[in-house]
Amino acid sequence: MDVKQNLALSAPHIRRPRRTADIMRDVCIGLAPVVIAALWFFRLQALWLLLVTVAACGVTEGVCLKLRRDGAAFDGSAVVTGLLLALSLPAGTNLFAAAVAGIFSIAVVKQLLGGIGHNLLNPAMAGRAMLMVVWPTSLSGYGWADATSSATPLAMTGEESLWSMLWGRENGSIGETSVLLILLGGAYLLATGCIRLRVPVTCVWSFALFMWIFGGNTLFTGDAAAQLLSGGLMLGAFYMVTDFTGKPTTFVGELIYAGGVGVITAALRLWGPYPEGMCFAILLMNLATPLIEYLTRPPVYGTVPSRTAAPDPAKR
Amino acid sequence: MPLPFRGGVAFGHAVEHKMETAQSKIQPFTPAQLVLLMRQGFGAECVPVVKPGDRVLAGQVVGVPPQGEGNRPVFAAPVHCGVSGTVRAVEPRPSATGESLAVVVDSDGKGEAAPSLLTANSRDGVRALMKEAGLIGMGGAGFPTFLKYETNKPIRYVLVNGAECEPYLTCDHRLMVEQPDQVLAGAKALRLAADEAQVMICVEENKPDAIAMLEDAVRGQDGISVVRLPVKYPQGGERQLIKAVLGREVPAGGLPADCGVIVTNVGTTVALADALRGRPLTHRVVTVSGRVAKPANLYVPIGTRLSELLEYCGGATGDARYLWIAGGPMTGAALPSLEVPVIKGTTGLVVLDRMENQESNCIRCGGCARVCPSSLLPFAIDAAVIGGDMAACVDYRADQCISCGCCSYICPAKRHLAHRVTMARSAFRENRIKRA
Repeated sequence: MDVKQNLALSAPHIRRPRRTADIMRDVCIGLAPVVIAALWFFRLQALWLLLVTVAACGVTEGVCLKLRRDGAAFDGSAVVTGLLLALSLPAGTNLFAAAVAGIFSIAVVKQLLGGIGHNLLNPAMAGRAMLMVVWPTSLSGYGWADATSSATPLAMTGEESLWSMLWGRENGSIGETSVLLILLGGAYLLATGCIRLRVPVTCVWSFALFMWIFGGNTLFTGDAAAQLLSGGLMLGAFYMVTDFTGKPTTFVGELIYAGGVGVITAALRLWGPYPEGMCFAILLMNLATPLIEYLTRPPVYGTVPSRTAAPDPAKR
Repeated sequence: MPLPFRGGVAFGHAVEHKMETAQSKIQPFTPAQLVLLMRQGFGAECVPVVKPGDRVLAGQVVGVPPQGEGNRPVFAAPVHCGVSGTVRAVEPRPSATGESLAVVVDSDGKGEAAPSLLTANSRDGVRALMKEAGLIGMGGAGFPTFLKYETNKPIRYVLVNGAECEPYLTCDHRLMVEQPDQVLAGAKALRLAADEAQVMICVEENKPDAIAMLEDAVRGQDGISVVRLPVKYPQGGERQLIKAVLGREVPAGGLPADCGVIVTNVGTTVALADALRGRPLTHRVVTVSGRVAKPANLYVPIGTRLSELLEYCGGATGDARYLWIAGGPMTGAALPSLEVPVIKGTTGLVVLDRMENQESNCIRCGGCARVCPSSLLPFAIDAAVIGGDMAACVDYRADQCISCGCCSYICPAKRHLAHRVTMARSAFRENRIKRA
């Protein structure tokens, strides 16, 4: 097969104007409310963290694109990775560690596998997981104290109302503060077609269901609402589970993938060694994506016997 | 209410560009010379039956289908000349997809007509007339019409395809508005040819004037109705039209007749009405649109060179690098030159600016999979073609691609998905034929 023949003259001769860079720009705009919330609650700590990760990701991407020499242009996806990485880290994270995570995300997780679209894992989540595994002390900043030894790390103190969790508070990573602003940014992503509603919704309800069943002292007594509003679940459901590259493209595949992330996150929160499970849940489901996608291919037109009804001979 | 088909794209007026010509009355135009290609569409090249110096009359046969081998049908129909005059040459000429033998006729401007065809009023008579009048699918594919109707499968429905979902094109729209009685006469003949099958004239909602005219025309007619369809590309693809109107699918590797349906373009239907009056298929309506000074719908003899159409419409505007397209911008062929003549399946001449699309990595957004009307995963086939993995193309059912172009249209990475999936389909079909 001659792949290069007459590409410029092949139909269709009109294309939708939207490009990859436009999608990345829209994702950045959708992240803006979350970034503003982070800056509001954590001030300079958040600002430095955001600047360091975005710069690390952006510069690494630029260097890698130069080295590739295949004409691949800067499309803004590294900025998205940098933002997501910073938002998933706790305030007070060692800035040098954050920079290392950013470089690792872009250089190793993304570009070494072929660049945008070819990475198996979500780069931001892989960068964060790398820090959690090989450099856990770098994350022990404000709100993340003594992460590994606390028995119920996400449990609330009595005074903390669901309302304050909804509006925002200083807890966990810098992007997990205000659920309302996450929903606002998510609404923008939905409106611009960057994400499909079924993905975050499936993730959220599967998480809540699992938490309700297994999260209490006995079955069916878990506090799903509090669990939903705490930690990185909402941030992950709208901005990370929806990441194109790591999820299946098929309708059923998306449901399985998002549901899997929700359930694994809940299980890791309840029984795992780390206080938050979103990061590893996404990485685990990323690995399952190729298989899920292959197994959930939609039935091709004309190949389903029940739909290709034979003509009715009775009429003749 | 018609059932929707899966996938597809809703372009909207800004992309459709139908306004430019939707109100343009069909104007006749006759050039001084015709280039009648012997390969008029899908299938075999015809054999010329005239030689240089011969005098020909309007409506006279100049090319006949070649002899078939054994019982296999020949995918071609005779070619008629649209003017009276003298044969200047019989030689290869450029076509939209390469080259074809052609009969070149200089018109004498008299329009002296050959004896008219014998009209028919029986099932077999209409089928024979379809063949004699040289009818092939005028929506672009060019499948010989008589072959569709000469089936031994029971046919319950005939869909007259007036969807015209391609951007820019309005030739079918104008036919339905200006000649609803001709559409009706053709539809009646199709009903006869298909053994009193139910005839449905299918029109998209963005042509309300055509729908109104046709509804008036078919009022009180037995077995003929007008179906209003929501606007979505590629509704005019016959497989999608069948799915949208009847909710059934054409089996993979089969023809519409395998699910009891025949689809015939509205232009072909009008051509059949002309044939019933004794006139073979020698003319058609062509939309000239895009970057042209005076966009128009022209009624021209088959064989008119596209350069003359463009000249008649005031030429191309601006000074950009042009792309000339025979047909619509989604499925039409980019032309090597404007010396290519109108054939029976030429729906339009669309002039566009040349675009540069630098491909970048697939970001797996899934847009192509969502718009694919065949439910394929174009990005996966794209990767398989680049990797040379024929087995994967087979596994992903590349053979079911209809080349509608929706995947390339939607792709934010500007990948040439339709091009590669179509390549995979062709390779797949050739392999299967070899194996058989």
